[in-house]
Amino acid sequence: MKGLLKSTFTKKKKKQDNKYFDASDRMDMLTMTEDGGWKDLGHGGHNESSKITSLEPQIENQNEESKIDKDEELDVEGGSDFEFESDVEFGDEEIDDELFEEEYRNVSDNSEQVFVQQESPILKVDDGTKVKTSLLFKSHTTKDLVKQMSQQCRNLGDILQLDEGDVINLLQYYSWNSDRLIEAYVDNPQAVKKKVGLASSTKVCQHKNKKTYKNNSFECFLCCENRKYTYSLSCKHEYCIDCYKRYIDDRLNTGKVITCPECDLSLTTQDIDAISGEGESIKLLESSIKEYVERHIMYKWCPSPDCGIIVEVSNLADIPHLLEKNEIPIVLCDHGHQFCASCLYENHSPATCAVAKKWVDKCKDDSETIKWILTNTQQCPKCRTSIEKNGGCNHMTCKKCRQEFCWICLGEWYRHGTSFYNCSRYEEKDKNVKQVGKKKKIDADETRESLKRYLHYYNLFSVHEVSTKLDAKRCAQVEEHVRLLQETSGISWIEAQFLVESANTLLNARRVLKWSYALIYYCNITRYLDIYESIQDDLATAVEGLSKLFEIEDPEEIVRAKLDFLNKSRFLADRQNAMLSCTKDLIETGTLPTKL
Amino acid sequence: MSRIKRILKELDDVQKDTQASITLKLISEDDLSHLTGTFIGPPDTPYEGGKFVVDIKIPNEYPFKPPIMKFDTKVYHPNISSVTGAICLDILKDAWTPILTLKSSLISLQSLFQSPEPSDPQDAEVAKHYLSDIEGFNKTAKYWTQIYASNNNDKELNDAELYGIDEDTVKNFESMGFSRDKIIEALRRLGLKKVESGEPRTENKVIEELLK
Repeated sequence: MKGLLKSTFTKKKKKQDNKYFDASDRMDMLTMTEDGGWKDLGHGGHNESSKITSLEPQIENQNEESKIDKDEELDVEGGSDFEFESDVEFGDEEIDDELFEEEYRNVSDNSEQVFVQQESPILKVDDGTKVKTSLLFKSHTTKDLVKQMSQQCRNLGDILQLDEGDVINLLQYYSWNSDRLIEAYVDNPQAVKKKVGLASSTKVCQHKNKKTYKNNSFECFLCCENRKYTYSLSCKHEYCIDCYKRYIDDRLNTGKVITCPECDLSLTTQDIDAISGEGESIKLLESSIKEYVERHIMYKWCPSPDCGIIVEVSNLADIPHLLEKNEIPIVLCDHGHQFCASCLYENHSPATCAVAKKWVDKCKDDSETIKWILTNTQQCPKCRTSIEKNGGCNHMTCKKCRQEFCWICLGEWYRHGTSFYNCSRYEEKDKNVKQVGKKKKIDADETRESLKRYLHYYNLFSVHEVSTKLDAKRCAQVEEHVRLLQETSGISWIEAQFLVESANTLLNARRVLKWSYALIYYCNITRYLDIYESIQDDLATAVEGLSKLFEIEDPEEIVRAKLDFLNKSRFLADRQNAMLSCTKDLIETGTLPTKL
Repeated sequence: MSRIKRILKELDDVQKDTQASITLKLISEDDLSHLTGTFIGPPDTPYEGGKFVVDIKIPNEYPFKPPIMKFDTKVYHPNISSVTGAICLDILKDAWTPILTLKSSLISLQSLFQSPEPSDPQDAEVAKHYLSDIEGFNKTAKYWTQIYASNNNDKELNDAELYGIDEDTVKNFESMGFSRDKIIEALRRLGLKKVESGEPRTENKVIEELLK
């Protein structure tokens, strides 16, 4: 109970000062670990704001110092006091705004996101010295959007003095382009109505309530049965209610206007509700969502599989500016998926949009072919033609240059002497052979080298992609364990939150690492590249370190390892930030070409 | 259940109507989902006088889903595959509504014969023929009607005429020593119906194809 109260309290604080929420949140948690209880936390909470404001000048002073060096100094395994300090310092000073914001969002759990949505869909950070425009966005579920669409229909209905149901049909006909509809309708309302198949306004009254009970038996044309309940529009084309329902069901999900089976008169939402039951007509709107989203470019589908969240970006015009500055217009959906509003891939930082696009395209086209070439062919040791061996012995003769060589050691054939068709030279494990092989490798054709280089990064990329999925699964399992533990042994809600945060940190870092491999493929080889690679290695190590912690099965063990979790995820977050800031440097130094 | 009653009623309706040039019958008495329909080629078209057989399969969802129709008779028509008999007609696809019947579908096919839609073709080669040389098209379509859709099967099959290929062109290449089958095959591959003697370039292209 205490925990719950506490969490609401921190949320209130966050409401006041979004910027420092990250730091303050962690501060709370660390206090908690130290004391092992909640008694001091009320105080901690109250003092938060003053503590943090006092940190501000300190932050600005340190801005000048080299970011990477700073990182190296960080002692992760140090005491928690130190950690707390470093946490605030680094957290605020090093992370640039977008990152900070990103991180701030990453650590938030669901309830906090709800709060973010309600209070401030505008995630804008102003650190006093410079103002950066980030994207303003808001998540919608399909339900929200249906509500919004129906609201739009009502508004438009007021303007055009039409029923909401009629407006839905009109908009469906005009592919949800309300401007075009208004233009056409104002021009000639009768023609538009006729085209869409709306009953002319004089018949609207007759239009309604056509569910009739017949004493005389009625033979439905569609099923050829005698039925009692029938329905018909003002066109008087009458069918039994079951056939009508069946007819509508088939068409509800097409997103098109449904007309009378026999003529062009369209069924409105009221008709559909009357036939198929109350609330069925909502499906008409649901089926139009896709078209609606396509029509309105400010809406973006979250690209995560089966997510179904639609993110509305209200300052679309800022995207090109962000891209110009090599920043990635990242938005966050309510399910916690980050994605790029420009290219609609998942968050691909540190790779820029251009790099990400090029990489994805390349992987689509090339990876399979290249893999095949590399695994199934060898190069002629003389002319470097790629050769596929499709059967026969190992005595190869290059068709191009007539070089005779051994498939196994790629050495010249005549050296094999009398041991025909069996490379004994390999068995000897002669140093010379190895040397020769090594030399051949160095000699290898440049194109093949570049293919290998690509494949190297592609493999790293895909390995991490797969690992991300596995990690996500694992994290979910662990969280489930802890939730159970929470229920049985009464650990408070907030005490278990470190796991959620660690999991998020891990998944984010893995994503950053993954995309950094795509990025490095396009880097020019300069001295900065070494630094970059070593930072990349550090990040990879940190990722695996945290990932390993998630292997712990026993929930109690997990709770005991809490400090470890916190330390490792903090370290990982720092490495991730180092990676990202290093990317910035890469772009500035021209190691990474901005135009590809 | 409704499907059975409906199909029986439709069969009954067609059989009662002796005026219409349409027939509809079950292939086997115990299977209501497989029928054949026939109709007569409309007058003033190359299909006049022909009797065209359509294979009809009725899906379980009938009449809410359209019947699946294809021609058993070979037809030379832009919207009908000259090989498989597949039909490209909107009412048999998304424009289907349950008030349409098997009879009305067959009537629609009949009117498709009167007004082909070469801009939305099923058989691209036939459509090209239709657009580029309507007279030649009519001739070929008429020939197909005579060969495939009429009862007088005694007429000998002329493969050049079947593909709308000019007889003189074939003779011309035959005089060069190529076999008739090969010439027709090559001309069809190249999509040519006729090669004028004044076009040495096209002629060379055909010879090249023949020598492959």
